[in-house]
Amino acid sequence: MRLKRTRFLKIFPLVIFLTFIFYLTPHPSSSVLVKIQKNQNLSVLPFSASDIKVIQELKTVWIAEIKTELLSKFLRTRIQCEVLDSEPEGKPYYLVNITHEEQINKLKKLGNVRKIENHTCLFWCARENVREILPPEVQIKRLPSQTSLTLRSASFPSSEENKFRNFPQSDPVILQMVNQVAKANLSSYILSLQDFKTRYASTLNCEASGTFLYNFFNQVGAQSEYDPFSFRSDYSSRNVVAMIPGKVAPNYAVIVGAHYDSYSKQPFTLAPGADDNGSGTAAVMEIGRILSRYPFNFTVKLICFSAEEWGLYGSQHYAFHARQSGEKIIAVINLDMVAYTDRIPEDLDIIVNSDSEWLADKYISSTQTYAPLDLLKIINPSFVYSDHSSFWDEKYSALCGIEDANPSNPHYHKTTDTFDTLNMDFATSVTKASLAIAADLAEPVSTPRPPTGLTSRSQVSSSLFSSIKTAYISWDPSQDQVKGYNIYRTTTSHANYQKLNSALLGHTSYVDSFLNPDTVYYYVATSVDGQERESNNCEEVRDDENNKEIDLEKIL
Amino acid sequence: MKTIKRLIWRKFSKSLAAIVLVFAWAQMASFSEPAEKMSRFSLSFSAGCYLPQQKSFRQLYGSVQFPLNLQVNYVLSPQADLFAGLRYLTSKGETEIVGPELVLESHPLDFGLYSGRLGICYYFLRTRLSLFMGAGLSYNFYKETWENTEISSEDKKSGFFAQAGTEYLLGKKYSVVGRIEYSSIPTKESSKLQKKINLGGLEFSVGLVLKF
Repeated sequence: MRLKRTRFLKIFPLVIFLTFIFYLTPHPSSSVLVKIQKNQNLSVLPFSASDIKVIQELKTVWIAEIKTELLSKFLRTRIQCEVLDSEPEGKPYYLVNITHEEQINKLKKLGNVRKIENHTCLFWCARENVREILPPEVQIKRLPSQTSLTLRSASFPSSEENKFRNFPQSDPVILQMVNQVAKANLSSYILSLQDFKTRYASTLNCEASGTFLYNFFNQVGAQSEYDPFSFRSDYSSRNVVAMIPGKVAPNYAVIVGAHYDSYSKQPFTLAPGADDNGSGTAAVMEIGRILSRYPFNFTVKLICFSAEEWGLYGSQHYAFHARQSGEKIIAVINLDMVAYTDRIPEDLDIIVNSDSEWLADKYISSTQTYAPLDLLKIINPSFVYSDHSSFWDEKYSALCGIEDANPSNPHYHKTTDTFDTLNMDFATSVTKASLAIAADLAEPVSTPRPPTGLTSRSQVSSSLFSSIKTAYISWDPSQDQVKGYNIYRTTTSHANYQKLNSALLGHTSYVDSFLNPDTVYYYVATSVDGQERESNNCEEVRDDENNKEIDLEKIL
Repeated sequence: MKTIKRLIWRKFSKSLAAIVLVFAWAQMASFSEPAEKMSRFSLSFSAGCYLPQQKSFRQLYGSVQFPLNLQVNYVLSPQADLFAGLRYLTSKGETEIVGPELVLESHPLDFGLYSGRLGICYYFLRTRLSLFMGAGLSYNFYKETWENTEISSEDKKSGFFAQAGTEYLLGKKYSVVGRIEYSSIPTKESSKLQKKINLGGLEFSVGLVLKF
């Protein structure tokens, strides 16, 4: 008995020691997929927000991957978070739009389902052909695997805050462009696309329709190229990218896009997709035909995406590489199903997230100025089932123009989605409105020419409790005979410019004081000639755009 | 090597001198005559030098500030006093440029700190020459204004302080007091110059005490 006790006393510390060592040994790091509610104070996170890989922002939640060891810390706080999947490594997840609860039961028979929001579910399964096993009436989006967003306070600015204060004056050049949109052309394009029988990505017919688009854009004078990508493990397809290079700032681009692939219950043989999305593709073709005849300050890109129906593969590929290469995209206008009307008059739903709300306002103002059309602005980050969402994921401003956010077309994803079901007057109005905003954003080259060589440097002055930023802006004198200059400022790149000077500036510099040091400001300048005609904006600069040059000057 | 040795010796000798000084002081005080009658209340007025602990504060307003103190002590026991006081500090300064400097830009600043304080102090000796240590809490109102602009920030924050000092009786009703004090006034505010602002620091002050 005594011997046993002695042995126990010898072994016990060893066991304690080994347990301690085991506890201290770093375990292989794994992660869990969680849903984090937005309406809570996330400034009390028990660790840096950068430790959370946010892969999707929706209206009321974020979907994120967090390290398993951080989960306990997370749950100890009062932050509402729910584990969706404890082993997310390498799994493809899909967001699925559900319209009624019965659909969830259907999905449960096909794979794993977690309800995310009222109309949004997360779905995953072992099979690769998710599009084909899911009911055709549901909209899907594959969750991006490469993107990482940032947690931030859930702010939905009211439409009043960002509303355009000054509606743009009508530009006769844009009006001229709008008037060239032809219903007959749109009809002809849709019929041509429908004639491919199917444009289901991965089929030869889809490849052929891509070639058709490539040739079309080249013929109308826009430089086009293919943007090939692979999806799933064994398929490949191509986006078609046509470009009208900008004359003043070609490194900034306005994108008008639509997906050209289609889907139905017989995707390999018959998926005419006249409305989804022959209509959007036709609008992009017509816009390309007209805009390619005019010079613009900024580059216009006309992109026809592929494999949208598979879960936005084409646009995810484009947007991800655009972000990686530092492509400067002013805005993306995505048109998806713009020719079916379930009532007269039909309105076009303009869907944006809170960061892109300015773009919806711009669309509304351009429409009012150039091409009357009933619009319904919807701020809904949970509407992620079209190509605009891939650009949201990469923090670009994008909108989706769609006849109805919840598809009202009874032929949706059916073999009966044909030209004869469409309202081409509505499609023409949408094309005119979309052309107007694209041209407005890309800025037709005007007289007098805008100033060049705009530079801005900013410095921060601080006391113990307050700090201010002062921006020193200067530009080169205009080459034209001008009376003076105006200087504009915005906090949203390429939108909502506010004039700073009350009287015309006779000199080529401006000091903007008492700015918030935590806000990024953007400036543009314009020239005004003797006839009070104002030029387009010059190339935009950030307030600290040229600060690096100061450092270089100091070093040299 | 010689320099290091010299530095060590210098530090050691300074510490030794301080210990000897405090010991001698205490000895001297213990031989002093005890005070005849203890007054219940005393009122002290002191002024001194305040060395802010944060570099940013010193950059803006200078290394040394001159606060004023008014304090009332209530004798709880031969060893302990309860005290309450007011402290006032005001200073003028100029803004600093943070990050790249393009042009010389500065704005005049006005800073004020008003503190109400409550504390307790313990007397090691209460003789003609007394030694004491104390600690307490402060409630502070501060305001910083950019002159000629509309920029200003103000808030109220609590803090704490600890002090040690000596008091020498000049007569029945008067004495002089010397204090060294450390205070901390943390704020939740920040600026581009300072992430976590603390208005505390080290203060040396001398003053006159009236007993009644």
